[in-house]
Amino acid sequence: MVKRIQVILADDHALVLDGLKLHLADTSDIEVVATVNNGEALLSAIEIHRPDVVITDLMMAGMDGFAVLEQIRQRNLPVRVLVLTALADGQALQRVVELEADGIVLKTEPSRQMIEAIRQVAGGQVVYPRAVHNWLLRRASRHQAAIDTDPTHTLSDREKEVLAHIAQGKTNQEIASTLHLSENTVKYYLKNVYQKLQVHNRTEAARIYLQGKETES
Amino acid sequence: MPQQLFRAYEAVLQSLIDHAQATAAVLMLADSAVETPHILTQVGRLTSTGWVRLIEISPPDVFIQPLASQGTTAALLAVHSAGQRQWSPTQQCLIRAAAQTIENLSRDGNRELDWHQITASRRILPVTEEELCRIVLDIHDGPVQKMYAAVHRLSHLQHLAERLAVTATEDGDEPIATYRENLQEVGWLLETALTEIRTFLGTFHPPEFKQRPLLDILEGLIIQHETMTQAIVHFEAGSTIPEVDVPIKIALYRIVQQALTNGIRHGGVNEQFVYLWSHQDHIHLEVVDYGKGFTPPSLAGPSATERNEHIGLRGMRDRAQLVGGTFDLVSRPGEGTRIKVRVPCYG
Repeated sequence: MVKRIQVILADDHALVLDGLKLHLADTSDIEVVATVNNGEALLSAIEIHRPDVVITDLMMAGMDGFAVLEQIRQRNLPVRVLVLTALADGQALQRVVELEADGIVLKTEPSRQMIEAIRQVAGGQVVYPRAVHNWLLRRASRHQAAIDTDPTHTLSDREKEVLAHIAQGKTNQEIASTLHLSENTVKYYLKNVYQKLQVHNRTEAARIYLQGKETES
Repeated sequence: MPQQLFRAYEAVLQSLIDHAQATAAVLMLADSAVETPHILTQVGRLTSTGWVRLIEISPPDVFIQPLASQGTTAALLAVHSAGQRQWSPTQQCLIRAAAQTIENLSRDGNRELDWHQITASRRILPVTEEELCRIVLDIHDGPVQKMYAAVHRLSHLQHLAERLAVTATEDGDEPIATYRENLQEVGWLLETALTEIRTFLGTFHPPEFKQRPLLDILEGLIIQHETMTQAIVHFEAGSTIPEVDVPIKIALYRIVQQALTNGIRHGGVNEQFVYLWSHQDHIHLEVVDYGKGFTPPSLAGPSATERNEHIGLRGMRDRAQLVGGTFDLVSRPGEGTRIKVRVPCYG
């Protein structure tokens, strides 16, 4: 027997939970292992049952869906999160995406769409409404355009400063003394710079910095 | 007019609004040959029509204080306080003091006074947002809560029916089954209605204008619009959109919201275009569609439309003008519609 997708449902409306359970009972590949009505209970239930997917509303008393999502990501819990919500307001949707939900389904959509979304999310896909996808595409192309114009665009002012000194060929010790920092702090900034620029050493970092300067002039 | 003087006037107006508890204050610097106080009292016919119409002026809501320079009326200070019946001696004193300060500033500042309007009415925009919040909450707390309670009651009735069914099998399953079916039907109807209302309300929830950058807020609006209407919005923004003041964000947000809604409702399109860019301390915005188009009514001057059906257009124009910007609408039947707005970055 193929292992079914194990899900936990979280919503503070009992009728919604009942309705969801009914629909999922009709499927042969999805199993509801627990239902809860608030965020704290959801976190406990995840620890106990180790589900594949949690399906959660955003509005719940006490700890809401946003806070739960935040906790799940912070604690690195190995569970996929599908947000099922009535909220269609842009800001809420942006926030859910920024908190790295694996899927968003609006309650006004037909139930078979939600069931499909559960399967896709369980399978590792990200399921967002089309409008959200369009936003992410625009954001990505803007980010790319900014990087093309200025490759050091994602660096903080301090990090840019350190990078500028690297490009001049200074050692960590020299940079530390110029900027009145400890050598450890300089190394810390450098680590961030390498990570953000996706390089492994100071030569590569310097090259990107100088490339950027060239484009400027 | 030099930026510093502009800001000084604004500071005086803002201070006046706060201390006199007014809604808005407008300083209209006049070419001394053009306007005189007694014409202004007819209010509604003067060029700052945007501001005037928005608050539907008729005294005693508005207090007019002329400012003199070298014996002639150089400017007019108009202060509006929504719902005001009488201006207290304290308020009048404050207004006259503000006028005096402005006169002094003008003397010491630039001599060049061309026709210009400086408006300090920041209160209006945040106040409207507050009111919106209150309305949303009222709807949420009222009908939605009641329906929620009804749904719960039905759930309870449903369980009751189950119990009755167990004890009343001699009468046959028929009546109980029908009863159960009906109950379920009503339950699901209410549940759907509730969901729809919450979704709808959600889109009226104003975003956090203070914390979030303009671009993010407009992106949120577009996500919401596309989700609710199934339309496609092509949004192109310049690479650097500067930080702008909250009243500017609110104005642009509400203008885009209205423009997008109008496009769907009247333009008969499902594809819309929004362009946003900055240039020389101004933000430019265009909302375009290639739909039906129409013959736009007059939105400026003495023949500007007052008709109810144009309230959305007037709203957009007023919001742009309130923050010191401009609003243009270009359209012709069969040739689509283009809304063009330009606002300063710093209100």
